[in-house]
Amino acid sequence: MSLYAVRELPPDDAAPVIPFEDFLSYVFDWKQNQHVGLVGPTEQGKTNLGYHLLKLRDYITYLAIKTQDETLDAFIDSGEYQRFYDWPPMKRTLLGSRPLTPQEAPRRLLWPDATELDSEEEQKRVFSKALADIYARGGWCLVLDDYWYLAHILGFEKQTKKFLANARSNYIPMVIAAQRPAGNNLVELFDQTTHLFFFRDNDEPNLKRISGVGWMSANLIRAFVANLDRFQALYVNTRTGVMYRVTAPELKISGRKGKGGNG
Amino acid sequence: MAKTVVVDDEEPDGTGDAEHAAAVSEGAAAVHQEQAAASAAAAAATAEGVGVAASAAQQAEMIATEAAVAAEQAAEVSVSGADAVARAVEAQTIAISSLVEELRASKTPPTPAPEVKKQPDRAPAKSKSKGSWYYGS
Repeated sequence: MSLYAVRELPPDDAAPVIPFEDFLSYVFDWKQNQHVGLVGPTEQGKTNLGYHLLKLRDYITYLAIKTQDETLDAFIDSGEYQRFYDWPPMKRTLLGSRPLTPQEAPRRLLWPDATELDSEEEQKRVFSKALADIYARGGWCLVLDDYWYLAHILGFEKQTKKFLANARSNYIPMVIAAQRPAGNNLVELFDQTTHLFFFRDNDEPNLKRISGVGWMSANLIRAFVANLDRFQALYVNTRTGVMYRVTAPELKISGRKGKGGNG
Repeated sequence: MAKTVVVDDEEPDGTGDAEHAAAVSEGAAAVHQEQAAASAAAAAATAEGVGVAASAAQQAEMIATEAAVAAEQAAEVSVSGADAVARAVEAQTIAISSLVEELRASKTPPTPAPEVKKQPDRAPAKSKSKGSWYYGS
């Protein structure tokens, strides 16, 4: 199939459209030792979908990097997540303070202040501590919002690749959001993830980068990706070959600026 | 055939008249006989025509009767044919309904996929590395 042919919608039954609730209940079997990839351009619903998928996990640390993010504000508004500016999150006691236990704060939005142009140093400091701690303890679901920024701007490429390769054995499932398909710089994104979600992308170079997804036909995936609706995702189980198209419910956006837990 | 009678006008004693009258009568009789024969022949011919006509009429009546019978039979056949078609359609409908029911009965309902079982996640360890002072020992 030539790249031109990806503009043709493949047979529907190759990736049926199913309600999101059915997808979560009957299809999406995400175990604690499996990684998830979210691949697609910005404003296509990656973070929104991530919110719904993460309901399946009990202990979450979400590394947030943007200056402002309405969708992440909605995470906090849902009451399920607490924003923290530093790691470990601390709790004040009569005798001083102590780290919050995972049970006390199971869903953490680790979101250092990024309003300054040189906020990278603070992000590096906070995220370095978090990554080291999470790697050692296991059990946390680690969410990397915008892999490229974390790997190339903050310089965590080595650490994140190590997580992808080894963290599963320590029950650290990862959710990695990337704006572009893997290409040569992050073959692990497709190699190491069991569950991949692609969002609509009509950029030819990006479509060409979709390859090496298990044993699956890259052309078929490309064809679906080029024809998805906005906010619709193509789900691919890289181990079983199962594909579905799903659209997650939209999170209610309040429009307010995020508030902190500690910090 | 009438005979030709020659009358001798010169006999004076009147016997000629009598003979003449006799001859006339004889001729008239012959003519009458001849006319009667012709009339008889005509009558016979007429009678024969009447017979033929009667026969034809009889045949026509028979044909008409036969046609009526045939038409009646055809009508009966037509009615029975329509009945047969109706019965066939009804039987076919019953057969189709039966097949549909059989198909419904034999078609196993789609097996719902088993719901994904969510096990509680393994919690992060309290203390694992030397540097994790903040969780305590």
